Amino acid sequence: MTTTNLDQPQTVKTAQAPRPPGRPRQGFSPLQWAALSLFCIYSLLPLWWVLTTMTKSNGQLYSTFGLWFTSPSNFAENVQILFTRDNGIFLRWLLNSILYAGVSAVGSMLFAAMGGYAFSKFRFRGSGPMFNIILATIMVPSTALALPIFLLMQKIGLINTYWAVILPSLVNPFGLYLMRLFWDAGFPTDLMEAARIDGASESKIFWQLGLPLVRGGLVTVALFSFVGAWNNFFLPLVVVNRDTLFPLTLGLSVWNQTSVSSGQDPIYTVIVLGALVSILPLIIAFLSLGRYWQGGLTSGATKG
Amino acid sequence: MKKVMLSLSALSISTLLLAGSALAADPAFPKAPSGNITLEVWSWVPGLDKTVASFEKAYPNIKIKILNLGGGPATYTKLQTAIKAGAGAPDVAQVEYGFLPAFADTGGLADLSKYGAGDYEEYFVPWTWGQVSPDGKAVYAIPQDTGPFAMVYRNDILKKYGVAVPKTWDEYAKAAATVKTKSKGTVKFGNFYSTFAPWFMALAWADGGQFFKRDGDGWIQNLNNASAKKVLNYWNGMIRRGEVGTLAGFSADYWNAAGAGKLATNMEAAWGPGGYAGSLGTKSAGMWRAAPLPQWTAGGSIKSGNWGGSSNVVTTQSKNPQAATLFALWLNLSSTAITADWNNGGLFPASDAGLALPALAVTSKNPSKFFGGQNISAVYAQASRGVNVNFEWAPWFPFVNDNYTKQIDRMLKGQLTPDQALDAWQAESLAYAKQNGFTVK
Repeated sequence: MTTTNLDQPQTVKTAQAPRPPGRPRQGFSPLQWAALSLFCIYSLLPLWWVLTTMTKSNGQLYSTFGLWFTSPSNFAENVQILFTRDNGIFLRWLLNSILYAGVSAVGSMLFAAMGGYAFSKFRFRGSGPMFNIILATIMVPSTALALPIFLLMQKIGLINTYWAVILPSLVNPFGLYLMRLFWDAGFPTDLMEAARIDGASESKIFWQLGLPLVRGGLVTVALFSFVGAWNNFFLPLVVVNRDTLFPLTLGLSVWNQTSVSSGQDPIYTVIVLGALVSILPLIIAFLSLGRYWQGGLTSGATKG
Repeated sequence: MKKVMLSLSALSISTLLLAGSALAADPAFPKAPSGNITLEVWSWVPGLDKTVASFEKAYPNIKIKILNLGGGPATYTKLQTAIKAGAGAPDVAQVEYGFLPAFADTGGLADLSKYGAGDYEEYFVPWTWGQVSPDGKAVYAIPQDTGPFAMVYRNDILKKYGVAVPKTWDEYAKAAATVKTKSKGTVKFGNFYSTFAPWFMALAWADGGQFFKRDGDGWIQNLNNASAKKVLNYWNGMIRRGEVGTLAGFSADYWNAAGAGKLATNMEAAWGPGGYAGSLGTKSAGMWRAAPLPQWTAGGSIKSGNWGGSSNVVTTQSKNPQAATLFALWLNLSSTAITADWNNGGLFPASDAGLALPALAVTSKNPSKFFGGQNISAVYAQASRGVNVNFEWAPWFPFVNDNYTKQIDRMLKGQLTPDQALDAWQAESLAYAKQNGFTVK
């Protein structure tokens, strides 16, 4: 889906006709086929390695061909170790990640929608400079913020709580910027004024009239935030001190480091299996929400 | 009959008790402070959460909370962040020897000599104390585990090609040439870890080489010291002649070669054999042995170097530095903790009495089992006692570590001679240290 978007922007732009978006107008040339297949194999090979490796024991990891399965399969045992090691803490990490990413996605989506709405539909004193400042914060790398966030959390006594990870993830300046564009393009100011004249309250205009019209933007921001929070490593590393609060990224990295550091009883193949489990929710999120996302992007592209 | 049995068993119990008390000759630890205390401990020692139960039993007013981040860069980033922030650091943290100077320079580490740690120097293998107290006054940490160097070798391969276990580097080079000829180049006699600076430095360490030294408020850096040049020229010669390989350590290629009998020997730290047993599994099990590191001169006492190992620091943020120091001492000097750390994580102790604990000598379990039932801990204990005391690290070691890989790569490609590689290593690292505000010459 992404490749068609990249290679054939014209097709997508003209796809307002009944033709479903994303399907190319004509077939690829053999050369394009070859190039795309090569690229496809290149991108999927690491995933294939993950699929074969997760069925092996740690000994088989080094003694067998990397890109094929081996017998006897060690898959069942790996699954068992993954979910029972350290009193089954992997499941806890999985739930933590879902919580962190889920709350971040919904929360930052709402905040971005509200902020973007304000900047798009209202002119107020200092709105211009304020928007520029928010834009500028997109450029600040998150690692640079770790120390200030750590100090802040320490001061308000939230270190080592779920909030220490969730609160900073709720702020998404890029999401706000994106939502402003969606509000500009997807919700005409005329429509808003018409609603006002008809006597709709401001909150009704935002929640019931406006939000459904920028659904594509909402899903986009939610997905971005979900992925960002799901992959976040540095923030939880710094603000959380109990393994019961770890997200998957941190937990798996600790297992991996333990295997490296101590050398005894390494569980690399179990960690690979854990890594695969950890990307399943992302795949599910993209497959189930990707349709909205793409629709949103194209509508933004044609109108903006 | 029954009576005899009873008295016999009573006798054996009393001997056991006697033996037990003799072996469990833990030093008298400092008195615990009173009041309810909770210590936050950041460590990646496997199973430590269970080990500390014995401590909490002996000192009921002290509770231990463990955070295990697995070690590595992330662990240090977190500790560094908390120290810089001036809040949120643990009472006790595990830090590798090479990273101690960097943390000491932040001012975040408590001087444990203030809490009586200096009285316990005699209980540690001498070189480990040199690592935590370079000037012999301030004590920045309590030594925990170590990685003294010895040689691991394939007994079957040495027998097959009719070479004796080399005792000197001279014999080692000759054996390498013999094995290359007889195997027609299919078996490498050794392996040079070209990406591990501490591995190379341990070999020079064994020859008395010193790379860094604190000099008043400044530093002296000497990466191209005479021992380093001697060692690198020696190995480069064998690499050029195709007698020694350069596979990356811990890589699939390395384990494949080691398991398939394409590698006869290697120099490994005390924690290395556990990795062989864990990574090779059944492949080549029972065929490996350990022997003292080959020496530059025959007949003297065994000299060795060290690769890896770690210590326990107490931070200046700790509200209970006295209790924290007590815990760090208990963790590294009580036979209970040393035995548990060896069994759970293969930690080779820094405690002198710890080297003689029965758990280390068990040959029916790995790593000794994998090494044909040889008591390899005895080999490594001898190595540890032969490690030179005078060896320091510098705060900019992470750069030095990376730069080593670059220079050695150029040497292996034939762009630099070993001497040139070491000179470039020295020059570039010196420039970096100066740029970063260190007074160093």
